[in-house]
Amino acid sequence: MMRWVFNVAALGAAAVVCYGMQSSKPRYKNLIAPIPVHGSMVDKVETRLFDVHIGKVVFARELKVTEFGKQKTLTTDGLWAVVAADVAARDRTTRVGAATWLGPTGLRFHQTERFSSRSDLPPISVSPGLPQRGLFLFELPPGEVEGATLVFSHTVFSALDSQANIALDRVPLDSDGTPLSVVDVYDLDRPI
Amino acid sequence: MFGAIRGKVRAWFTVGAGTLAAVTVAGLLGAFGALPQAQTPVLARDSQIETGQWLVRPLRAYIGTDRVYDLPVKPDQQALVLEVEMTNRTAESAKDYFTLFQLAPPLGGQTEQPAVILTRDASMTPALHPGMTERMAYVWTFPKAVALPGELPLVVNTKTYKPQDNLYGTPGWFNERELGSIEMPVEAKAAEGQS
Repeated sequence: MMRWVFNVAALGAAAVVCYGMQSSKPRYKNLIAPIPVHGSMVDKVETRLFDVHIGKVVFARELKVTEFGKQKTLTTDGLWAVVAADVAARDRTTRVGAATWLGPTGLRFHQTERFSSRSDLPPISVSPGLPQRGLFLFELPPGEVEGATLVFSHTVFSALDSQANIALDRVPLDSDGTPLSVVDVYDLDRPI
Repeated sequence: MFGAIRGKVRAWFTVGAGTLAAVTVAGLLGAFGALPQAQTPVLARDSQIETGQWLVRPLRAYIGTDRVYDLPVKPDQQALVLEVEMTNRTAESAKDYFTLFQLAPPLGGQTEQPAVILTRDASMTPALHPGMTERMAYVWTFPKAVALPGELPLVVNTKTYKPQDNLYGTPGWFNERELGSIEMPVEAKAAEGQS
C-alpha cells in the first residue's frame, strides 16, 4: 500500500516538474530576439555595428519632396514624424536599414515606404570615420507621439544583434495630443 | 468444443482490432466528408468587413483603361479596379493584403496577383500602419477580349492568429481561408480625375 501511494506521488511530482519546465521554456523567438541598447535623445547610442544619435524630430502635416525632378506632396490622415539622426559606423562599412516608431501603447510603426529611393532615407550606408545624417520618416496618429521610443537596427530581422532603443523627449502637446510644434508643410529638400 | 470456438473468435478480434479501428475511422471521416459543405456567407457590400488583420469596406469597382493611379495599362488590356477602405487591426505596420480580395470564378484563375495601390499618392503596395485607415485600389489587368461581368464576384479571405507558429515559435497570421463573398457592381468607366 505504502509503495503504491509513493509511486502515485512520484508520478504526480514528475508531471508537475515537466509541466513547469515546458511552460517556462523560452521560445525560439525569445532566444533569438534582438538585444536592445537603451538610451535617450542626449545620448549617442552604441550598437554592435553603428552609433546613432538623434539630432532633431520634426512633426508635419504634409511632406514636400522632389522625386525624379517632380514636386510631390505627401499627405496623411495622421502626422508625419521626420527624425534626423546622425549615424556613424564603428569598425566596418555598414548600413542602418530599419527604423521603427514604438508608440506608448506598444504599436509598432515602421518607416514609411511611400518614397522612392533617396540617399538620406534608409537603408543608410555609413563607413568608419564618415558619419552621415539620415532621415527616418514615420506616419502616425497624433496619440502615438507622447512616450514613444525609436528603434534603429541593421536589418528588419536582426536576430541576436543589438538594436538602438532611444526614448524620445517629451514634446509640448495640445489637448488632442498633437505636438504644438507641428508644421503644415515640411520640405524634405531643405536640410535640418 | 464451444470453448475452442470462443477462443478462436477472441483471437480474430484481438488480431484485427487495429484494422477494425482504422476501417471505422475511415468510414466516419468519409461519411462526414460527404456531408454538404456549409456555404460561406454573402457579405453586405457596403458594410465594414472584419477579416483577421484588416477592417475593410469595399467602396466601388470599375473598369479602367490607359492609366489607373499612375499604373499604365497596355492599349490591348483593361484594368479591373476595386477600391476599398482598409484599416490595419494589428499592432504593427503590415502589407499582408495581396490575397485579401480574390476574384471568384469565372474570372478567378485568369490573372496574376493584383497590383495594390494607395490612392492618396499612387504608392505601390505600401505597408499600412496600425489604426490608420487608407483607401487602396486593387488592380487586376485582363486582355480587352475578356468580357467582364456587371456584378463582380469576389472572395474575401481571412487568416487566423497564432501566438506561436509550429516552426519558429513566433507569432503570426496563418491558414488563410474564405471568410465570405461579395458582389460589387462594376461601373463602366472611372470618373474623371480619379484614375
